[in-house]
Amino acid sequence: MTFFKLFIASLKIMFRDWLTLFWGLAFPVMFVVIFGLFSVGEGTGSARLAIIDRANTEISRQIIEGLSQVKFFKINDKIASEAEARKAIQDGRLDAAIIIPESLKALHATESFPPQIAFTVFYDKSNLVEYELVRGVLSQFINEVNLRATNAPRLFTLQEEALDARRIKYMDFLLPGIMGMGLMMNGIIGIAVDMTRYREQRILKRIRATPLPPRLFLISQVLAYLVLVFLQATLIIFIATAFFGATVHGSLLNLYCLTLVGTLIFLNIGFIVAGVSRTSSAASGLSQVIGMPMMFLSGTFFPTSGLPEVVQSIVQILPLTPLMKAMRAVALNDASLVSLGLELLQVGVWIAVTFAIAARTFKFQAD
Amino acid sequence: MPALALIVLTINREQQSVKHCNPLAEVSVLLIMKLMAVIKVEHLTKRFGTLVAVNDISFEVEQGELFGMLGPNGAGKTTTLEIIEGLQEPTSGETWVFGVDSHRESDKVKQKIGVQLQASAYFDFLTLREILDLFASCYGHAVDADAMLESVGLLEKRNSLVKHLSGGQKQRFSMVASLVNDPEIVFLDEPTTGLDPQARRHLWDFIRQISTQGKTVVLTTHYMEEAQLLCDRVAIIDLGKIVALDSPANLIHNLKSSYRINVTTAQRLPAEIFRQIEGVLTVREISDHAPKYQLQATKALDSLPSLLKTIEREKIPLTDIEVLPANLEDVFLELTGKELRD
Repeated sequence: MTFFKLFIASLKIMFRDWLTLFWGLAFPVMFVVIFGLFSVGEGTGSARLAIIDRANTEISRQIIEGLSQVKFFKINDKIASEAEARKAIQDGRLDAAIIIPESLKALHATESFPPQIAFTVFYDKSNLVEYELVRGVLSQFINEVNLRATNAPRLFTLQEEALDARRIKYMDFLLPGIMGMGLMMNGIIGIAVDMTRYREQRILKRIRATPLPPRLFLISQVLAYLVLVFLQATLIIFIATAFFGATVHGSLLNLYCLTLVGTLIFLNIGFIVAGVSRTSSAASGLSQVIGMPMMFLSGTFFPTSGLPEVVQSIVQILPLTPLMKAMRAVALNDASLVSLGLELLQVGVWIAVTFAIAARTFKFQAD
Repeated sequence: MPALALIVLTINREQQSVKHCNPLAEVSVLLIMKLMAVIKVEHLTKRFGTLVAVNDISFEVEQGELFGMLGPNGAGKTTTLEIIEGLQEPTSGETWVFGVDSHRESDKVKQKIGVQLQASAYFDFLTLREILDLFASCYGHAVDADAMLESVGLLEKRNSLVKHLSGGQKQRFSMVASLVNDPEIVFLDEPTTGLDPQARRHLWDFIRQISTQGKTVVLTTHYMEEAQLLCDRVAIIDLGKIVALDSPANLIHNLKSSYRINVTTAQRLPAEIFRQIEGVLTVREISDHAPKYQLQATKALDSLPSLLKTIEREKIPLTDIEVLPANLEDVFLELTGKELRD
């Protein structure tokens, strides 16, 4: 009964503190929105292309027809000159333009091979990713045209067989990352700042002046934070899936389990920070110092495989790394918890180690 | 001593009136009552590094007493209190509350005492009612929070947050929060520090109220008049030691100079004129806008006739005479040679 009252009180305190609550919840959501907006064009599979036909022959018309068949391209047929195309690309109304050269006319006149015919492509230099796709599709198209035009025999073909029907989008990759970032930041900063503030205000001492076992108070705080992290995770999943096309490919239940269990590590770290900080502002600063590098190094926003060897070895010893791996495995590949034995073991060891340190460093009283 | 006398007296009376009753039983009951000085502190010392905050203090507080610890900031009052409450470990020495060691069995002690900490805040986002409720549940009690708030005039604030209270209201709330477990002993650490005189007087009424309910009250203060007006007994503490412990009246009575005679004159005089007056120990010029001299005297009755004669003889242009009893401020000054500043 006492514990239940404590827990309810902890929840009230947490959810009435609007400003802190807002930052705790809004910060990760902000990341979802920002990254979501960046990658919103990704996966829609289209590029706006203008074709400027300077040859105007049967063949060039066939090429235009062929390009129109490519689903990837949305052909803009209103643009007829190079100057217009350049302007449109600069204005962002067009992704690329291809010029069919006049020299194409020569193709029909002689039976022998004409000198090489060059197609010119303009693109927006600032949109490299998009251009890579455009270039890929265009060169494939030109190859095909070459093959057909020369009637070359096809020795090899590539028979495609998709092993995984799922198409993983960047947002899918990002979603568990932001969940991890959110639970880590909330856990460390939240507990560290709350506990140091309670100590500064002598609330912890006041509680110790009652016969209530102090651990009950701490457990009620931890539970309140788990509720907060649960809501935060739900909010992130909702916004990412509803507005930015993200998909959780695995079991939500497993994902939530990992989220809550993983949070324990960072709550423990929060208690450690509160243990070594005298003031709440010191605790806030130290939390950032611990949280920020972990946020970037543990593969929250991008895969860590591209990092240099030395950094990789640091990445491996961070507590967020195994948690992040496990959450991604569940969210992207529908991994079962049993198959994540190693990661779960690492998370478990981290919980035990941080708890042991927290128990030694965290004090109810400043003296 | 008075309790012992009472025992003897009771034994005699029992022997005379109820012959068949075993007098020893009566004696043991009374002895237990005497031994049950509700708080007992023995040779308590607390060091923080090289600083000796509490230096070999021993005292007892009796049931129902309003006991004050008076001393300047940093004298060791709070440390002593918190060791008795089981919140700090002593370096050496022992403290008992109701005969229970406040360290080895601090939970038992905490159940029976109410604690108001110095300048303690309460949760920012809970209402007064919710805080009382929460603290009561820490003791496994349920309280009528509204009734408790009403008793300190805070009923209409029951759904407010602590940060919306005035200084006086905060202190009243913090005092009533220390009563949620209906404790037998209430510890109030600097309950009126930082309050304006009116709020302070208001709070004194509540402290008296708690005391008249039969609870033992231990309070610390650095306000001389607070100790003098409220307390049955006062321990004067300086540099971690008790320099005197008695009722305020006795403390003052035992002073070498129990009275102050303030003489205001129309023009400045050499202070020596007053030195020859009978029973005057010291003379100080304390002029503010008018020339004013303070004579410290053993007995006002002895000194006044002599003073009047001197005034007549020396043709002193007198404008006013005040006769004031000494106060705890003077006691502190005489015992420590320091002023107990406000």
